[in-house]
Amino acid sequence: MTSIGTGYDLSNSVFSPDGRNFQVEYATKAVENGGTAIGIRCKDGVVLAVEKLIGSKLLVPGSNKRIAMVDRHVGLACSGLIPDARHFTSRARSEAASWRKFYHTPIPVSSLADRMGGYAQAYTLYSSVRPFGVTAIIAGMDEEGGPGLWMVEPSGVGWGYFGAATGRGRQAAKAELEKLPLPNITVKEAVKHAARIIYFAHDDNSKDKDFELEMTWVRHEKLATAESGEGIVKGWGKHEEVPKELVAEAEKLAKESMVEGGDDEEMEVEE
Amino acid sequence: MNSRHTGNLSVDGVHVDMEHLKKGEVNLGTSIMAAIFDGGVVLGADSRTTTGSYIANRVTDKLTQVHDTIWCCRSGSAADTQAIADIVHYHLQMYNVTNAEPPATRIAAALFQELCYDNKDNLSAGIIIAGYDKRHGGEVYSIPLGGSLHKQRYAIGGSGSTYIYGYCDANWKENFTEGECVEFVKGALSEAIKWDGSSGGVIRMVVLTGRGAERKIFFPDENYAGDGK
Amino acid sequence: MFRNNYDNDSVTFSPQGRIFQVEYALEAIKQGSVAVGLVSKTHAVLVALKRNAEELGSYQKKIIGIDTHLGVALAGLAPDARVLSNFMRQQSMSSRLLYNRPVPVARVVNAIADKAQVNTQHYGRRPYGVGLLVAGVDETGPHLWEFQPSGMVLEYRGASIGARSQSARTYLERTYEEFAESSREELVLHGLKALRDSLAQDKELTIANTSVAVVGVGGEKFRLYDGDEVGEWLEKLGNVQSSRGGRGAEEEEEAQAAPEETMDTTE
Repeated sequence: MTSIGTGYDLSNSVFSPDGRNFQVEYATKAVENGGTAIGIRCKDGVVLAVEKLIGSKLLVPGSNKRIAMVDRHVGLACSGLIPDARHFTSRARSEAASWRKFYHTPIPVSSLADRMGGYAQAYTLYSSVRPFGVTAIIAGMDEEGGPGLWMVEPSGVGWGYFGAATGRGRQAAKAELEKLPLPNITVKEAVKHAARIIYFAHDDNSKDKDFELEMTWVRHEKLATAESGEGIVKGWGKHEEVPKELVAEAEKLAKESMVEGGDDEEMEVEE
Repeated sequence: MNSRHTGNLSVDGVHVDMEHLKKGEVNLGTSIMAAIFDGGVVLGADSRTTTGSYIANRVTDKLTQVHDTIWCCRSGSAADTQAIADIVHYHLQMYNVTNAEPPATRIAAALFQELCYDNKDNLSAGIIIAGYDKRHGGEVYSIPLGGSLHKQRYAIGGSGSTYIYGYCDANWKENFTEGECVEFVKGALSEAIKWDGSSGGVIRMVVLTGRGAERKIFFPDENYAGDGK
Repeated sequence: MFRNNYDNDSVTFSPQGRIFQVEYALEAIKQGSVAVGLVSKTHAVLVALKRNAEELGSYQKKIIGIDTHLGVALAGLAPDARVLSNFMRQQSMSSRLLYNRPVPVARVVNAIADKAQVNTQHYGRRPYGVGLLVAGVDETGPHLWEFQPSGMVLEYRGASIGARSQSARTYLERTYEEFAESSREELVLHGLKALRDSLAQDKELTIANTSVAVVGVGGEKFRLYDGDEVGEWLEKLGNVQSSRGGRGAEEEEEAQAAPEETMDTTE
């Protein structure tokens, strides 16, 4: 950020002499301060998990959900400015609905990610708006592509992932995700990993704050795992909260793994 | 006011004269159909176009491509159905490029329905959509006058179809082979042509499979015999 | 004129990813007098401290009824609150017209949140300068939401906004576990005690400066109590001055000086 103060970073849609859009970069800074959010793409579905930081014990436990339902088969987890995330989510819902109206079929996950990328990008083009302070992880399951996991950044760029992480603890989370044999695990296995990774990332970055773990998945209602040729299940999935018992079990295992991990070394991370 | 010139409800408030055309409008007094078989779908149509009692074209092509392996049979006003097919063609091309995957047949059917239903008061169009894609195989959808959408294993349409309901019911079989399906369509359409005054000419067909689209044509002076190539 | 180059409008991010104009709007809430809200299993209560510009002037309204099952308390720019509450009334009315049912609290809260967010992303607009506590009852029971100009909304068991609200919050945090099982009466008294704790040293709660509103499950309609109607509660309260004494005031100053967790919208 050597060019701070040169004036090229004061307005959106302005290039600096070396070709950067500072306002977009600053928007990603807002994301980097948000609670960690991850997505795991499996052979039979996708798991989303977020670290919901709890600012006050007066908040109603379990309320103020951070993973949104976009369509029956698509979930969206955000990190960054929460009001921006709500706006972004509401646009995603409109896109999904308009697709349904026009084509009489649910929207493929890749197409939704594509459209949301376009929407985010439009907010980098004009000095009259600011970019979204949000990185969104879009998870879904469709007929053609099977399980899909996409991450859309404030610049509008969007990539497909096997394991995606954003927010404050993304580095730690990414390191853990890379150890998993993705996508060759099941959603049920991934739930445990997701809980562990969120706990790990939390311990690494926001140890002093309280948090709630929020988890959803997208999977096919009827098909069991490894039904089709390559072991990847295809068909329209259903996005829903992970059943409470499974979350409780996963959290228990996560906490146990934290105790074990703590013996090895004291990790101190600077930003 | 003469209701025959408005296309609105007639005096009884119920029956609509959908056969009515504006002065000089070209009608596809028609026999069209499509049927699925194992591994694909066959579309077929006669080739007569009339303006009143005059045969404006005796070798019309009523089978229209809207995507690689999604085609439709048009009946009703030629102008209306051509325009609709053009619009759907555009949307399916856009779908293909923006989503980096070919549209499924049902997407095409949905687009046709949207156009036919939303503009039902201004259109005279009965369309059969047939397509093949790897995931769903051969599919047939029918959109009659009001703009409703029906997924069927075979569909018949146009003025000539009234004469062949019995024929089709008696002769259609599940799990046709490609050859059997072509014979079925040909048999049904030649009956329709025989009985319907506003159907006639050659029989055109399109066969949609994993190989792509193949056209066939059968001539009346050969009694619609031959392999259609 | 400006503190830095990044706080001129709400469409500019600072290098740290903050939006100063929005943070300043949050400060506007602290210019307003305090409002407290809390919920039990059966009731949602709002209490607020009214201010008058001069000794002989009337008191500024702090609690606005939206519908029979819903109302808001405000802190900050009252005109902005009126815009938002009118909008909420419209939402509420259209819900009754369209669905023949009272609007769910979360729905109407999210509607104003979405409205507020847009003001933080487009040039030529300013964020709303008001914070709201929205208390209401719907099919799922009593609810209390806090609304912020950033477009942030959060559901609370007890919350306070406005000047010196930290002291009220301290009271709420100490006693919130009792709220759920509290009776209507007890809940109001908890609210008033929280309110009392946030009073400046020379102030006390009177029938002139105290507003109370209650709404309950089972059809108890949102009702605003002012003037003589709050007298009985104040009597039950006994001492109407801040219980914190002199030391409390210092604490408060400290809390004011230390910038609160900047931009809590970033969760």
